[in-house]
Amino acid sequence: MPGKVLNIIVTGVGGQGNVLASQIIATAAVESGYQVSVGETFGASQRGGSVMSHVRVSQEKLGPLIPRGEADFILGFEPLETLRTFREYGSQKTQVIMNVRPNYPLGVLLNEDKYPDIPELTENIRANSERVWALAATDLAVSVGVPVGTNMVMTGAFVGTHILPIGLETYEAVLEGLFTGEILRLNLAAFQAGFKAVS
Amino acid sequence: MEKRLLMGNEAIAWGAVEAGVAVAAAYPGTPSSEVLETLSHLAPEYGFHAEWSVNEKVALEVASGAAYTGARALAAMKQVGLNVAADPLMSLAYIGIKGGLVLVVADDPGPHSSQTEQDSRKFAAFAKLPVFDPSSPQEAKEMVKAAFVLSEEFHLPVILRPTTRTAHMAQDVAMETANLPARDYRFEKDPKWVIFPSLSYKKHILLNQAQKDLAEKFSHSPFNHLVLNPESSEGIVASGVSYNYVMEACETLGIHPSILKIGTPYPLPSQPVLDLFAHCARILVVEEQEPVVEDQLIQMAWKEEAKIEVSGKQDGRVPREGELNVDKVIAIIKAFLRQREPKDLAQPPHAWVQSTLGTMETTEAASAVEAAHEHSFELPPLPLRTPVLCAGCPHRASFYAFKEVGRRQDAVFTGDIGCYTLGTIPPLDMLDTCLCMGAGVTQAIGMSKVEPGRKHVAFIGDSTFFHSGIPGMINAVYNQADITIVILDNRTTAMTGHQPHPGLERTATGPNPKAIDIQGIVKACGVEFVREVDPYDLKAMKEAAREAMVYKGTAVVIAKRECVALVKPEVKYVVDPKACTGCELCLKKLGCPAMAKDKTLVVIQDNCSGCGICSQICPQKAIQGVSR
Repeated sequence: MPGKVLNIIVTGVGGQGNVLASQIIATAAVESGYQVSVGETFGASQRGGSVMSHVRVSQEKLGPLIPRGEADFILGFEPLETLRTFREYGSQKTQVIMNVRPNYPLGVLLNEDKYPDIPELTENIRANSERVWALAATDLAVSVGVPVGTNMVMTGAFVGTHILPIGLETYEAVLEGLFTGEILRLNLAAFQAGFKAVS
Repeated sequence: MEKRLLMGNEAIAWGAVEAGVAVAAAYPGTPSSEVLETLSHLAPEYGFHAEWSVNEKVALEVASGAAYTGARALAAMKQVGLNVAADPLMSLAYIGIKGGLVLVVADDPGPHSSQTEQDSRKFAAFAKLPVFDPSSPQEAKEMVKAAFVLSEEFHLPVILRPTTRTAHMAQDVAMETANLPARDYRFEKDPKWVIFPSLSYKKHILLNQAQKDLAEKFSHSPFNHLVLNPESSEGIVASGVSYNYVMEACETLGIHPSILKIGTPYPLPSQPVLDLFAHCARILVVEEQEPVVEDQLIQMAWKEEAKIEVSGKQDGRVPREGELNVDKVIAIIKAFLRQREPKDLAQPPHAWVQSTLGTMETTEAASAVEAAHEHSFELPPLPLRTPVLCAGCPHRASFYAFKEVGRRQDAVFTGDIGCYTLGTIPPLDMLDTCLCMGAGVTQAIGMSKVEPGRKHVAFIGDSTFFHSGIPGMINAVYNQADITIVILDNRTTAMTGHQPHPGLERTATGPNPKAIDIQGIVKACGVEFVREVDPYDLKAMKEAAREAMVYKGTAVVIAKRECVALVKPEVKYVVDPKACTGCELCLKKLGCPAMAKDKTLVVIQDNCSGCGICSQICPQKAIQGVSR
């Protein structure tokens, strides 16, 4: 961990499973003896709106919200939401993993808004951050036979960066506590695919 | 001690289990729903009763009945739910209870998913009941246990008021042993349980006396914590979740004022405040929503003739609207420190306490704080992503049918609280009103009485129908209202996370052998025009809508189809590119998140859940279902 606090934001579209991803990261940190605060958005925002989880791993108790410009890590499940979050919470010291698969908001589907050009968007973040991993996480999930496993691929990729000094086996134990049988096998496969993609 | 990652609401539930709760009752509402959600999972193992009640008034009354017998009971709701439960609450404060009664009311500054930003601490003060304001899940759990003890000591209901951020924040929480409820509770008959006016007068005297005793009791509460810095003449008082922001802001700014953390905002503990007065010339009060702590503190300064400058909401320093966060609190503290000009402390204290009142509009404060955040450079705006009805949501089909039938009639569509409030978003653009639970039906009645030539159609969800729609429907029949009521029966309470209700085959903890038939209720209430239709059958739905809107009198259409989030789709729809002319009718009329424009043609994405409405409206018959 670079400082005494690691501020992580998991961002995406309601329904993409970012709450589960933040829960896995946070649980592994608690199991490893860290103090953890997670701030979530629920309710109306679940129905396809922009969603964000703030995960703060530290040696002391902190509040649920990361101050602006203070994200150390952004785990973006969707390009537009990654950019939205980066603009508010990112800085030159922020590292970003971004799933490159877009999810178009209603305004774009209705041809009223224009979705940003993804390579341009990626370059924009790259130029203003410390590091960007642009990951075809959804394709990767499909390729290992888990089309709904994008969130697990992304979680695995986060672990693969080793930004938190927590071993792979701790996360796998968390997954084993959450799932059983075939569901566990599929989630582990997606998780490991993400891990390998950035390691 | 075992530590577990718990959300604030889960920690509250565990606190109740550790306190040996015997009965827990709630109506779902963001940000409170996970309290009973968690308790319903724990109830079978720990041997207590947990229920989803039909509304918040019922929940509080159920819990109070259990508390009359000596059992510990909990009721949970969101802030606007307390408006519904206000009636029993106000009287319970007079009558009192025997076993501990804890009322969890989750406030929603922002607001994130509520109609108001009302402050339940103010409600507590209005009802003259003590209130706890947790700053973290760990503290919330400890406060629940302390609240049960306090409730039994004072024979009063005690309110625990988390805000959204505490309710939904997850932290590592130390777990303790659970206590199973006893089995030998018994209601002892006594005239003290019957609220006659003569008894109310006597009880009111006792209730007023208790305020002072509670303030004294809270002076020694571990939830109020004063850290004095003898080197500083400035102090910050913070209540609830704001305490986190204040601590982080002070660390960022590298300042060390005296800090008073308040965990019991009403009645305000006297001793730590007086100790702070003795050391400070200037005090900043940081709290979300209303100036509950601040107003009591100003009162205390006035009474004590303390020469203190008090800053907060009353001088416009701290915004009264929206949430706080670390960035806002940093801006607030910086502004507070900048105004450190020597005050003329020789003038009479009363005069200057007065001078701090109302010197600046609060909205001005809010915009000043907001301005502190603005990026120094302009960025192009990004496309917004607002919540939408899911792909295949049966409400979309119902709205579309009524829109098609009603558009030539200049009908008014009144709405209610639930996922279907999203029907107001274009292109459906269907709901003309939304006020509070149950008001869609009743407001339609009122409108119909003064706009006799116009058709009024009220939309209400199944759970909302049970919550407060039935009295409105009875009122419509009794008062001969010419309205159409559409019950959007998606077989769940969807928006808050799919809780059951009396129309379903399950309760909070198990099967429900007596699911109540909505159609049966409607008929029993004297409604003569009743149609139950599957909204996925667009032709039948439009026919029912047409007949209902022609009918003179109260007509009810039940649009019955399970929420898409609860079913696994068997079919998906595809557009035949040869047949599609790119007219975009489906796209423009339905606003379905599964449909997109690909160059000139419409395509259906993988999130299609197979409702088939697009296929039914396509003029070219270019959309067909295929099995998944």
